[in-house]
Amino acid sequence: MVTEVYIDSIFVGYVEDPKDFVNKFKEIRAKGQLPKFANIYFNEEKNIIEINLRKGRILRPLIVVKNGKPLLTQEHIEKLRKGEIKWSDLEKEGIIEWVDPAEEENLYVALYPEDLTEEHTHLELSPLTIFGILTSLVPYSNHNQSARLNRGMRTQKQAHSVYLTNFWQRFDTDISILYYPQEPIVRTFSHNLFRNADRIGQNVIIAVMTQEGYNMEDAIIINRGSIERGIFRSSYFRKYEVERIKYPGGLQDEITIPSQDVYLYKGADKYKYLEEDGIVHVEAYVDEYDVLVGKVSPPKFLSAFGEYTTAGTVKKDTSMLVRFEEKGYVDSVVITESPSGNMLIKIRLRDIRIPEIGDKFSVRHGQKGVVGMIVDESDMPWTASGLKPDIIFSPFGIPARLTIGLLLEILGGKVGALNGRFIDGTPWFGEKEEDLRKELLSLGFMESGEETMYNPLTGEEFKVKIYVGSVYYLRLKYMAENKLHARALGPVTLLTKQPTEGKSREGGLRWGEMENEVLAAHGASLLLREAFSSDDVIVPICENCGSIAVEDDIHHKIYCPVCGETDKIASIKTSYAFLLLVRELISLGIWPRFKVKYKFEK
Amino acid sequence: MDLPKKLRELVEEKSKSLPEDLRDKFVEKVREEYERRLVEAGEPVGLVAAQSISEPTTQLVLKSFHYVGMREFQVALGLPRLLEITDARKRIKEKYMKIHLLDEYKNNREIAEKVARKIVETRVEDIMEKMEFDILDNSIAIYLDKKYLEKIGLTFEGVYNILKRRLKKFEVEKKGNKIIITAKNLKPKELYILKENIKKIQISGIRGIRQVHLQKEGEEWVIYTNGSNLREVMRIPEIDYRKVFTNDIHEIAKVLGIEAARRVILEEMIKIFETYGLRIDYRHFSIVADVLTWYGEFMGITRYGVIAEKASTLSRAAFEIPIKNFINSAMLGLEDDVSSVIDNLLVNQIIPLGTGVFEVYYKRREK
Repeated sequence: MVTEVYIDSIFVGYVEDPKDFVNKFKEIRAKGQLPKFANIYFNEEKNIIEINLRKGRILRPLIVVKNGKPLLTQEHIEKLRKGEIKWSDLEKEGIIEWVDPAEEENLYVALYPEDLTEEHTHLELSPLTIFGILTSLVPYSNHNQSARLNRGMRTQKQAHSVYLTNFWQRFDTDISILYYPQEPIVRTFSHNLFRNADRIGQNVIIAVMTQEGYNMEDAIIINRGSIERGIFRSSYFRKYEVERIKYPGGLQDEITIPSQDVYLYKGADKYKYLEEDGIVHVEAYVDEYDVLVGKVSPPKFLSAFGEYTTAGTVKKDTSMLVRFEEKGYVDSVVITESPSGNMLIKIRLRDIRIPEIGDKFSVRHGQKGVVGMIVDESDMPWTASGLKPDIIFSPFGIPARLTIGLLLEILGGKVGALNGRFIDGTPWFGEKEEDLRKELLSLGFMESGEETMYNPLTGEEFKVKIYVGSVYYLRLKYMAENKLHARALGPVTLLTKQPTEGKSREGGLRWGEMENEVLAAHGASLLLREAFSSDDVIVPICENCGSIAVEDDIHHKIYCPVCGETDKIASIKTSYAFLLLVRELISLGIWPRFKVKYKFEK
Repeated sequence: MDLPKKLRELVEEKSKSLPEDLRDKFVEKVREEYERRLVEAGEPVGLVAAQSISEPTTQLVLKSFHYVGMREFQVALGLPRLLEITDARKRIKEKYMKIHLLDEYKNNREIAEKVARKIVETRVEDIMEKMEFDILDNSIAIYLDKKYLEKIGLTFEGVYNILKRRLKKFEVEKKGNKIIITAKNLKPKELYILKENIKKIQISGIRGIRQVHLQKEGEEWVIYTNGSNLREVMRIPEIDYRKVFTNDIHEIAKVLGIEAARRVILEEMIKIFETYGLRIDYRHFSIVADVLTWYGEFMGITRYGVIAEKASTLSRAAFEIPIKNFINSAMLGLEDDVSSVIDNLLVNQIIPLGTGVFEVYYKRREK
């Protein structure tokens, strides 16, 4: 019985004693004579040995265990601490091995040093290695449900932050920079490694309570006083790019303030922020559809017919405008060259974003919610010491989601804020809840973290004690100002003559199928007709043959394509979409005919 | 308008305790209230029913299967079952029957077991040990499982007789514990097909019922079957034919008539929502049940079912496959009087519902 050996799934030969071969392979690898990322796996079922060298495998380091004792000793750790040896030295000595999922099948890995037995082959560096970077940043995450951890991890990527310290030199789209970023009080060990994660939010005082129902369904209430003091204030940046394109035949775009005779001239008012070179000046406050860069394009030979019928060929205004429903200060203007050698103008707009109703906030435990109310400072409940919370968080978010980590973070944040120190909230190894409670008691607060609070409306003491503490809050990138949109009249699509869709196209809000059924079920037939009349047209119909008549505006006459000129033309009101359907049927070879009846005839 | 009989009796009974001069007033008041609660002309009952049923349906857990009292059966309940009913599917997830015995037998386990044994379909493949296939002699040998035969109350002789009767074209003889079937003129391929067909020959029981389970409900023994054959099961004398239930609505419509099918649709739909603790007025379901059955046969709300029966081309085209519908209607030269809700929505006219049912004309006073 021999065992087949494969390297990267390619058959290379046979081995008689597979276990001995694997052991020898590992010995040689530990000596450094084989690449450290080479892995070997003995599949007993199929009786084959797989050696894997290829890229893309997920590897993780493990401490080698011999006879129930890890090779990594206290001595090594001391030396590592002093800087005498490095990680790579441990690898060379064969103390640390990199293992891929296949090789792991043959191993018996202990999670803690206490669990080690004679049979174990490897020891985990730390149970924390199961976390990714972002997940390891959640304090006390071992007390949370895994689904919450997943969500809390994701919200950290969406937070307003100082994502890079050279953000003012960059031209990034859709970026928010937090004015006053803070380090979290309750930290994990990863915060020491990933310093960028220290700039994604602010420590706020929260009270876990309800207030007038404005924080129902995960909403939060924010203190207006805190907002006025600058909590979660941020700048919003948007980039605009204009390229001066060269056309075949020596023509090219012109960056200038367009003159009045240019086709699609937008009116002098729209160009008022432009300097003489046709580019907007820095720190100008521009509103929607103001011109940022004045640009005039030469007439295109194959462009639309209407452009050069009246007065020969005319230049066209293709200026860059501020997007619909956006505004801001011109933060920076840069003139460079595009990869194709054209002149490229980059403009960055800056807008201050103060928290308002509808903005989305989150903690690191996946408890996200929008601002439901901004309450005056005088109307916020206060504690016995006169402290007013920044945020009131609803307690109803906790029982179903079981984010106990959040409750511990509130407690830890309170202790840290009172004692002026950071709290270690590393999962499994962080500061213990009992210790935090004892420390809180020694500081003169209730052990439970609860405090007496007073009703701001009556001045009376609340009958229950309220859980108050400090927690690291994140402001997420979803802001009401970016989403808010409405229209009355506006652009329509060419094909169906119905309103366009989407905020960026100044679109209407859809009156959908379910909404129409609601009106129909209420019997509101006239309102229903009105709701669908955005594309109403009046169609002339020949009463003789029932086909759609032709309206000739030049000769001021209406005639039927079948019967010729006739008096019997009826006008019906229908939706353009239906007319389109009829015309498409005609193109299919079907001739739909209308039988018209006058409304008031019996 | 007169009150319904039940309500009238209730009113009469209650009014007895009232002083005499108030009785008429009371009756009048009840009638007024009753009339106000009736559906008015132009009320879109179908739409209200659709919304009243479909909103709670969004709360049903998708693809959940519950068991009807036993673990062997995976009967569709919840949303899948609702779809089976409204689509009038012929192939449903699992057909089952619930059979009650007559009052004099229902507490007797022995009789219930006997009936259950009688019902279950036994094929040759169930009672045989193995089957041998001889191309040289053009013969098939069947070895019967005698222990199993005894258990289900059949004899070797009986099986032999049945096979002899069913396979008249071929020679059937018995040798020891095997039955040999010889077919002289068949080619090997045809012989193979014959072998597969012999396996499917029914020895006893009722066709279509593959499994039977006894269940004690209170004091009573109830038979649940896997598979359904209403017509045959109802013929068994020990069975209370009035209480036999099957979840195959097509079969009910065929055997008992469309009214029975309508009743079962109604009850099944109510049952689906009751298991989730959702209570919906039965009148909504009764409209759905009416729509599913009013063409005289059980038809689903699909493009081949109820929608295909619609007269209006626009309505049919608005549901599914518009081009095919338009072309077919154009070939037939059909007319559409634009009278239904969806038609009027298409051409953006006032829909004939609610305030759109009537028109007001003003006759100018002549001077």
